[in-house]
Amino acid sequence: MHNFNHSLVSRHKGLPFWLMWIVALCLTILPLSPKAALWMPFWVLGLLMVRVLKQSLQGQLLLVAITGLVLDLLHGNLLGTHVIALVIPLYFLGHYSGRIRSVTVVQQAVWIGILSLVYAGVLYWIIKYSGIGTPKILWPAVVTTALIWPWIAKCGNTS
Amino acid sequence: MQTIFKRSPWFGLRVIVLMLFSFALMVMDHQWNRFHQLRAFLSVIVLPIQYTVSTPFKIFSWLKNSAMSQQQLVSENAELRAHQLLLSAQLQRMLILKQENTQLKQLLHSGHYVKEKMMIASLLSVETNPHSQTILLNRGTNRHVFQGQPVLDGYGVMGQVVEVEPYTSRVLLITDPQSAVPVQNYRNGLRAIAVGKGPAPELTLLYVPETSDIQVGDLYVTSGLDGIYPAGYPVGKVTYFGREKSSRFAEVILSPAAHINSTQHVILLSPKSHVPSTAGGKPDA
Repeated sequence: MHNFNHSLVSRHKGLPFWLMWIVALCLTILPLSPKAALWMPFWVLGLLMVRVLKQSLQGQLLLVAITGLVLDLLHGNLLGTHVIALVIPLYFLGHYSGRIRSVTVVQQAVWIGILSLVYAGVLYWIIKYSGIGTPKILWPAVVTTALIWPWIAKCGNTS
Repeated sequence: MQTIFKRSPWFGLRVIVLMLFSFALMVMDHQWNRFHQLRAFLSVIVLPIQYTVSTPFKIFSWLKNSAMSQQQLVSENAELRAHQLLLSAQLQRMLILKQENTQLKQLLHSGHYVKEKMMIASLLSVETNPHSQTILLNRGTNRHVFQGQPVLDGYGVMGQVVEVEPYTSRVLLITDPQSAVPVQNYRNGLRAIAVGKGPAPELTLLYVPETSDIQVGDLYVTSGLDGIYPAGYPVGKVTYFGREKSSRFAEVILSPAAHINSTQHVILLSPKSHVPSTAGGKPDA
């Protein structure tokens, strides 16, 4: 069974990380119909998860902070909203990274689904209690993020 | 490749500090008006990303228009000429009605004649964030866009500007649940408040008694009572009028008059001048 460790040692040349980061941000604000937008995966979170699994969260805190601020500016949220929503699941991912790296891709996708749910939950909670915007159910995006995880992991590891 | 990561003893503290800093940012952004200037400055950084996303769609739209056949263009031209003729005929009647209206206002010593200045803007992006129904326009403080400015398309009211940045502005659509527009029935003048039902592209009227004289197909226009939207612009048509079992009030659903999901260009409206009316004064032609 193909697992994450196997993909980590692969040395394919792919897109540089910063380019994938920009692509993920562009995909986040892609204009779609409201129904399709509900199923839009958390591209940026997925990419950062690959990065954290590969290099731990310790050296990535500045990247997470900048990414969160850029997402807030793109979505018109209060500055800091996405930073908090990103840091919490990524912290847990970094904490259990050893365990997650050693399981199969399918099992990893389940972990990613749970952490995406934490991200969606934190985002929902902040938007609801800040009174800026109307929070909606984000579970479809959680499902699609988990489903596309094998592909994100593969792309992220070739960067 | 690093496989076993050494955890710094200060790492947890750094994460907590980052979260506290983010929380402080949120509070300042929410409470402190001066923070909006910083936000406007930072928004310029993400402008290339917004343009990158919108450019392929604009190119596609341009190619689609360019690929139209000669016959299609001739047919569309004929249709537009017929439409223009019809509008010209209607306009002649409107000019007489406007003059009559001005004279009546003078007789009633009505407060103000409001003349609006219009500016065309293009959609830069549609907010796909399911938390809010907003659109981003390619006009900002550089073109004197201001917060609260009403936005229309060729068919009706679209929303109002809620955030202005140097080169862009964000518009809250009338279909967003946070949007409320004072409206009145065009047929009988019955006033109400229309709020969005987003993400569904519909509006609902609040606190309408069951006995109200409302019919399916009635047009609701802005009443102008909020001081934001000028009076008389179409907001939506009634698509459902019924009784809610659990409430004393009727349920009224409106379909927005504006083509919210398909419009590419919008009109930003701003009061040009407020000219006090004087009895016997020259009518505002």
